[in-house]
Amino acid sequence: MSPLEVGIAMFAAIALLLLARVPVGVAMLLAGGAGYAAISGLWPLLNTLKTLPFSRFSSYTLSVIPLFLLMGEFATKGGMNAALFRAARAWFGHWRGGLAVATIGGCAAFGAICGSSLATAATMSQVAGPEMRRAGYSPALATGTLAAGGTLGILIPPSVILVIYAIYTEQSIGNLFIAAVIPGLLATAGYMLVVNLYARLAPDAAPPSPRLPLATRFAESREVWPAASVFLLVVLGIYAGWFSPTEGAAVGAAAVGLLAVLVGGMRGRQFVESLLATAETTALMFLILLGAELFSAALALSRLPAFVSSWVVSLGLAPVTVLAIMLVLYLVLGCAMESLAMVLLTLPVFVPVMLALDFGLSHAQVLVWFGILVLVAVEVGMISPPFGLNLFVINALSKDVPITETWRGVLGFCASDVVRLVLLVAFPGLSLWLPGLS
Amino acid sequence: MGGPEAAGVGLLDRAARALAIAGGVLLVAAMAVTVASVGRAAFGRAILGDTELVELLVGVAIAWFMPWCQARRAHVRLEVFTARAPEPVRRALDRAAGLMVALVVALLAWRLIQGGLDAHERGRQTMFLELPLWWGYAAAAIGMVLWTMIALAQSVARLDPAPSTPRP
Repeated sequence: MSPLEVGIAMFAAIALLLLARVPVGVAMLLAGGAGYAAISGLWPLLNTLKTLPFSRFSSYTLSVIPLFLLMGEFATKGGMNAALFRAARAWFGHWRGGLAVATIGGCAAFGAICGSSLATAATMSQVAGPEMRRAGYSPALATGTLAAGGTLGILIPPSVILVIYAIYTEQSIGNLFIAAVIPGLLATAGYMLVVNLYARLAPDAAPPSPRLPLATRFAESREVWPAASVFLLVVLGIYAGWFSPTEGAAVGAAAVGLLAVLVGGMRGRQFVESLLATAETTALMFLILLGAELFSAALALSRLPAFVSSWVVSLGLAPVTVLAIMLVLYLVLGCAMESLAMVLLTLPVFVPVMLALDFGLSHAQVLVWFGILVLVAVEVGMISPPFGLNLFVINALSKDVPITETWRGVLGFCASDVVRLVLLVAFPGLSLWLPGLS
Repeated sequence: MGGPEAAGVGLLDRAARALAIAGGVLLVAAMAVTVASVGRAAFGRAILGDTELVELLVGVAIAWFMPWCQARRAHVRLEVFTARAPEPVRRALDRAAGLMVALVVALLAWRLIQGGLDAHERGRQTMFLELPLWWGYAAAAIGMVLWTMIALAQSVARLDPAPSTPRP
């Protein structure tokens, strides 16, 4: 087999292994390892494996991931979800569809201290779910809102997917975080608009709550300030270069941990629970990262990425058409696949293609812009029926709601996601202006 | 988790939980070292080599997290296409997949131990603190060996009919 054929066979092998229910990271290790051995030989592979796992695990740059995950777990176990939801409810509760709007607001705020979509969805559903059901909200709207709101966890920085994208493409994590701010706010506003329209069309689905006096609203928001300061300190600090991303994540985790102990009443049991939850998520991410490392190394040896990018350029399609095809592919794949694995499997091919196309932007601009687009496209996949992961998590947490109701409730949010994606493609400035790249 | 599985699996699961908590403590230690070094740098007294300590701590922590994730069967799989497949087909696939996981993990553990022996033999050290690198490898090997044992136990154990819940 020629190296190029090996590269193609690796993708075929991954597809087969995934269908055979092999864990994603192991499938990547198997296909990547086989490809590596086929091109370079068995001994070079065995030699690489001597140092590859431990050097991946003990990378200062990648340490940012477990630290951000720890920060998110401290925020969850420290009851910050409840405080943030209460504050959002005080401000938005009397709006049309107020509790659902407050859920979106609470998710956005929680997303600012948590970098994972499922964790945000699951955490917020504990506080907002029962509240919406008690107030007589329709199960479709309640579960759809929670599933969509959860995606704000990865859209709004800090975001684990964005960190990994930044490391992979050698872009500044701070730049990508800042670039995600406007798209994240757009997402929040878009979701709130969807709730508003939903409540207009079906007033019974979202009964209004009473308006609160201003003094009560401020009183209810008291507990938000610590979380907000931590977010500003971490994200601005990383962007401004006060500290490295790893240092920022450590400072953030320590601050949120301290808040959880002092304000949220975190004690020994919750502390151990947050360690175990961090352990589980960190381990599953690093198995995928390890697999992706070997897979992309073998792929680079096969020269398939270079071949594909020169082939795409030779087609002479408009760059935007190629970009649109890649994003649609993400939307389709995202319906069935775990987001991190999907991103890591596709980047080795897609990034060279993006850099080879002429968008009239510099390399740094293209990479930051594409990172935001990938992030949004991936996040749509998490809530698109029928297979979106968030839908299943929220549905599993709301026992008596049939999954079809959740599918129905989330459609409007999916539509707003697609509109936003088109906007972000049409106006790169939305992503590039804030980090000063436009 | 638990259920009617062999007592040996229960013991392995408890060991994995303990090791994951220990790894969590290492992660918190890495966090503290980093925060301290930020604090010192703010006063113009940066310490050399703090990143090396963080790397070692986090590297060992992650290796110690792996058995727990395996014990919880939390590693991400694609289940949607086979969710409706007949029970015997799914069981056969899971059995084969379990064996593949065990083999891959065993290979990784073997190579990591070999890598640690190499590091010991050549006296490889970190740059500033001159910490012997094989310490990290040796500690990480504990996690890799337990991970292998759990993967092997799972691949031969009676299959748990309860589907695992997806995680991020």
